[in-house]
Amino acid sequence: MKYTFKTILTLALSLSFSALFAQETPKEEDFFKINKVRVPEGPVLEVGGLTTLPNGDLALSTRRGEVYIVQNPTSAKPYWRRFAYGLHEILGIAYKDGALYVAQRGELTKLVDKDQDGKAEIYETVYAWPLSGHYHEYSFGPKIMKDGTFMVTANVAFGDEEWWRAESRVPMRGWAMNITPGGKMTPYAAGFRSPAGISAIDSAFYYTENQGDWVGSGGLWKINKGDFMGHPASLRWTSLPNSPVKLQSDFFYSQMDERRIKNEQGRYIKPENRVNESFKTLFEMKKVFPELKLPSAWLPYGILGISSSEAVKIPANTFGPFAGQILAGDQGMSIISRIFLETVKGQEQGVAFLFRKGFRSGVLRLEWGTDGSLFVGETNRGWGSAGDANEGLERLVYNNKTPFEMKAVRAMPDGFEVEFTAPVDRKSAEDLASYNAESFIYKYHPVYGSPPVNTEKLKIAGVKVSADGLKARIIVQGLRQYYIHTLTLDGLRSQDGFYSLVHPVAYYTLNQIPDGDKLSMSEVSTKNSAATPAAAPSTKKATAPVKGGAAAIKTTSTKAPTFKEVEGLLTKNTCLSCHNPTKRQIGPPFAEIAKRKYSPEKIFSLIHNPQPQNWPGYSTEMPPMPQVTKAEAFKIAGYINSLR
Amino acid sequence: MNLNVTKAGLTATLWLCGTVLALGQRIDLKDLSAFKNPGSSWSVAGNVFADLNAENILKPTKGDGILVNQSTAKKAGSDLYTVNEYGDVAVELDYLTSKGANSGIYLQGNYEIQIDDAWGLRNATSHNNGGIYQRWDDSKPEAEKGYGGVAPRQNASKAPGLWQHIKIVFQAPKFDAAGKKISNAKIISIDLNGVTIHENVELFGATRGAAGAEKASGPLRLQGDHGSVAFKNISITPLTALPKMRQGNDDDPIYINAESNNMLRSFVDVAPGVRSVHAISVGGPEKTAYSYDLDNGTLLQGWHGGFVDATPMFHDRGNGTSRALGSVTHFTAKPVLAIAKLANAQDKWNADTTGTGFFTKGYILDSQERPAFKYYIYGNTVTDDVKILANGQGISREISLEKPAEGLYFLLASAAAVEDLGNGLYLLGDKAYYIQLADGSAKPVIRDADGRKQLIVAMGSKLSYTLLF
Repeated sequence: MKYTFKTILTLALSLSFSALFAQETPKEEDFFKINKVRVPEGPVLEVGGLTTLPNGDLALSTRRGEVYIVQNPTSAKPYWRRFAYGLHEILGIAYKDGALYVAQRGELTKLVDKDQDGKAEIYETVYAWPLSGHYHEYSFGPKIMKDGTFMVTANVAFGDEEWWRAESRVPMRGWAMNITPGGKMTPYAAGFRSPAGISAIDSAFYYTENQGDWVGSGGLWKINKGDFMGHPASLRWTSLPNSPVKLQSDFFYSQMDERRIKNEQGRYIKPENRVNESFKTLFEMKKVFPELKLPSAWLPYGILGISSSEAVKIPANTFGPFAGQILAGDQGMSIISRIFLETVKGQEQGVAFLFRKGFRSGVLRLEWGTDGSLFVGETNRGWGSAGDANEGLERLVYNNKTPFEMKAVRAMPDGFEVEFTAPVDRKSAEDLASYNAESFIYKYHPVYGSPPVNTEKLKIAGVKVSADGLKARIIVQGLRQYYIHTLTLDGLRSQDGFYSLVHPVAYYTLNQIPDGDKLSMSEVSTKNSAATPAAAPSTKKATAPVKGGAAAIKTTSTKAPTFKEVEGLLTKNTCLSCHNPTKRQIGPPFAEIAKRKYSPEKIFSLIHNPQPQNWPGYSTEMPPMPQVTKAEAFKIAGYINSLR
Repeated sequence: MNLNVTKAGLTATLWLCGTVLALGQRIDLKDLSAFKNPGSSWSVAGNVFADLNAENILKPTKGDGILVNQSTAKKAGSDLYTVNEYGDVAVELDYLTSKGANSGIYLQGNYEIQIDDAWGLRNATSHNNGGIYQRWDDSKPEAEKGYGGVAPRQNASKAPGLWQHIKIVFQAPKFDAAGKKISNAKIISIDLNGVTIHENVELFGATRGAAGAEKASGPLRLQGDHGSVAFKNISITPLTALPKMRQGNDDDPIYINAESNNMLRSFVDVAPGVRSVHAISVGGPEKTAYSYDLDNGTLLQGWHGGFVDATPMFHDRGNGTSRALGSVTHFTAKPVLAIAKLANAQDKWNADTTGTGFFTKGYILDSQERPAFKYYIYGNTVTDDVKILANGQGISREISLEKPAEGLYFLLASAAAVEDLGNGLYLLGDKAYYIQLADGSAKPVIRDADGRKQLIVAMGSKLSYTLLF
C-alpha cells in the first residue's frame, strides 16, 4: 500500500520535473566567472586592501603587512613587485598624487618611492591614533573623499571578563576619522562596531557593519558627519570638544538597557536573546536618538552575509544591466551581494539580492580593474568562511550575456515595482502565486545579533505587468515602514527560454513608503493559480516539488530525513550559511554535532539559545534562531542525528 | 657542606615552571667551602668588572657573592670541583667572561658546556659559548680526533663583562649492577640568556678533557685554566624526576627571518602589562635586532639571534604582537619619552607627551633598507638614526635635531643601577648592557628617579652613542 503510493508520487514528481526543466535555468557562473590571478610562490595573500592605480596596475596590501604592485594584473602573466613591507596588519590601501596610503593598526601611513627604484623608502606617518593594544582594534581605510581628505574607521576592543561586550578603550575606537593629508584628524562619526568595509561612492561615504552586540544584522549605511551608527561603545568620547556627535553615553544607557548583569558568584552574565520580551528596534530608537542612522539596505544575516565587507559601485561600462548598482562582499559566506538604492522622501533605501557565491576564501575587498572585471581580495584567517581557502585574490569576469534577474525593486505607495533584466513570461508574471511577500525586522539590543522578529506574511492583492514585460508592479498589503520586505518570485519565468530567476529573492528595506498614485484593482491581474486548484497544476508543483514530496513521504515513514529532504529547511533558516554536512565552515559540520548525541529537544533549545562555549575551536558565535519552529528543529535534529 | 638540597623535588618543579630557584638551593659564595681543594686562581668577590678593550682582564672588588677565577697565560688557573656529586641535575647560574676568555661547565666533571667570549659571532659552533664541546679520540689521525660536538641553535651570547644566564637540565648516564653503561647521559635542555639552545641531546660519551670515566654521579666542575671568568647565583638541584619534553600546541610557528635587513611593525610587550602599540622591530644579517617605540622615540630592547616570532600576530586572529627570537636585553621597563625640556639636570622627566607637541613622522629607509626614525617635539624635527653595528655587537644611535635648541635633554637609560666606567662608558642595570658615548660628547648626569637611576645628557644638535650587549 505504502510502496505503491510512494512510487506513484515519485513518478508524478519526476514527470513534472522533466517536463519543466528540460532546459536548465542558467546559473551565476554562466554569466559571471571567477578567475584566478596568477600569484608567484611566496607571498601570503591575506588581502587587506586593493586599489587600481592610474596605469591599471593593482596595488594590494596584506594582513601580513606587505604591499605589492601587480603589473598587468588581468593578463595571463602579471608581474609582482613588493613595494613595501613590515607594516602592521594593513586593512586598506589608496592611491593619491603618486603615493600609496595604507591604514595600519595604529596609523595612516604614506608610502613614497622617491628614488624611483620601484620600492618605497619613505614610510611617513600621516596620523597615528591611540590604541589600547587589544587584538580586535583593527583599523580600515583610507578612502579618499572628494575634498582630498582621508576616511579611516576603527574597530572596538572587547571586554576582559565581558568578552562579548565591545568597548572603546581609547579615543576614536568605534569612530570614523577624517584626516587631512597634513595629518589633522577630525572625528567624523561614531557608533561603529566592526566597520571592515568602507567606501567612497559618488562622493558619499558608506560602510557595511558586521552583526554583533547591538547590531542585529549586517547592512549598508551611508555616513554623514555627526552620525551615530548604533553601537554605544564609542559614545564614551562624545564629550570631547571636537566631537560632531552630541549623544552622550549616560543618556543612551538611560534609554537602553545594556544588560550588565552579574550572577550569584559576582561574574557577569552574557546577555542572550529573550524569546518573549518587548524589545526596541533601531527605527523606534531613532525617535529618541535623532543622530542614530538607519541602514540604507539591510543585508539579512545568514542570507546575504554574516560579516559584510567592502561595497563598490558598478561602473557604467561593465556588468551589463547592473551598471550603477552596488556590490557588497561578505567574508564569512564568501559571497557578493548586489544592492539597488533609491531615495524616497529624501531618505535612501533599497533592495539587496544575492549576486555571486563560491569564492575560495572570505571576501573582504573589491576593486575594479580597468578592463571592467572585479578584483576580489580574500582572507578568512581567524574567522573561517564558506570558501575554505585561507586567502586569495580572484577576479570576477562578466561575459556580456544577460542573466534573467530582478534588475531593481522600487517602493510604491501600495507595494513594489520589480524591474527585470529581460521580458517575463506574461502568464507566470500575472499569476499572484508567482509572488510571495513577508516582512520582518531586527531587535536593537546588547545581545550578539538578533533573530528576525515581528515576521508577517503579506498578501499580494494584484499585479500589473508592463507592456514590454520588463516590469511587474505588485500590490502588497500591510507594508510596514522600516521593515525588511522579502519578495520571493519563485514562480516567475522569463519570456525567452522560460527560465527561473537566477536569484528569485529580494530584500527591500522600506525606510519610507512613497506617496503617489496607487494601482486600481481594475488595472491589475488578480489571477492566482494557487487559489484555483484546476489552473496550471504543473507550474504549481514546480514551485516547490521537493517540499511537497518530502512532506508527503514523511507522513508515511519514520526514517530520518535525508539531506535532500531537509535542505530546503536548512536553507530557509540560514543554517547552511555556516554549517555543512561534513566540512568545517564558520560552524561545525552537522556530522560533528551528531557526535555530541544531543536529543532533538536539546537541539531545539540550542538553536534558540546557542552555547558557543561548547565549541571553543570556532571563532564566530552562532546567533539565536528562535524563528525555527519546534517541528522544524525536530526534523533537523532527526537529520543531524542520522549522521553519527 | 653548605649545600642544601632537601627541597630538591619542589625546586625542580618550580624550575620547570620558569620560576627562579628558591633561596637555599644556591651555593653560598661567602667562601669557597662548597668546593674541593680550590686552587689559588679562585676567590670570592663583591663585584667584578671586565675591560671591553683589554683581553682577559677581570677586576674584582672586595666582598663576597661572586666567584672569580683569574687565569693568565703566565699563571694558568685550575679547574674547580664541587664537594657534592650529582646524578640527574638542574644547574642554573650566571656567568661573565673577560674579553677573549674561555671556560666551561662540566657536568659530572665529564661533559662540557662551553663558555667563551662569542660576542657578535654570527655563527656559533660547538666550540663557542653554549656549545656542547666535542669528544676526542687520540687513536684517530689528527684531523679526525675531535668529533661529536653540538653547536648551539643560535648564538645567544652577550658581551664580556655582562652577566649571562644559563639553565641546564642534565640526565646522568645509567649503569647496571655490573657497572656496564645501560643508557647514555643526556642534555634535556639548555637555555642561555632566555633562549633554548639545546633540547634532548644524547651524549654518547664524555667530551674532551673529561675528569675520568663515565659514572652515575660526579661533581660539577668549572673550567679555570683558559682565562678569567666569574660566576654567581649558582644553583645545583638534584632531580628526583626528569622533566617531560616541553609541549606546545600543534600550530605551525610563523618565524620572520632577517637574512637581509628586515623590519616588522607590531605590538611589542615590554614587560608584563606594558605593551608598546606603535612599535617596530628591525633586524639584519648581523643576527642582531632591536625594537623601537614610535610613540616616544624610545629603544625598547635589543637582542642577538633570530629575528621575530610572528606567530602570536599571524596565527588565527592573533593578538597583534610579535616576539624577539633571541637573547633579549631590555633597555627600559616601559616606553618613556626620549627627549624632554628641563630647567636643569635635576628637573623631573615628562610623564608623557603632553605639552611637548610630540608626534611621529615615521621613518625613511637608507639604501640598505634600514630605517631612520623621524619625529617632532618642542617644535623641532628629530632624526633618530639607529643602526645595527656591522660586527653584531650592539647598535649605534645618532640623534640629530633640525635646529639647535636650549634645555633639551636626552634620556640615555633608565635602570636599577648605572656605573660610570670612565671614558664615556657606562654599565647599566645588573651588568645588563653598556652605553658608550662618542668622543667629545657632553658629560651625562646620573640621577635618581622613582627609585631607579636615570642617565641623561644635555642635547646639542647631535648626539651619538652605542649600546653594547
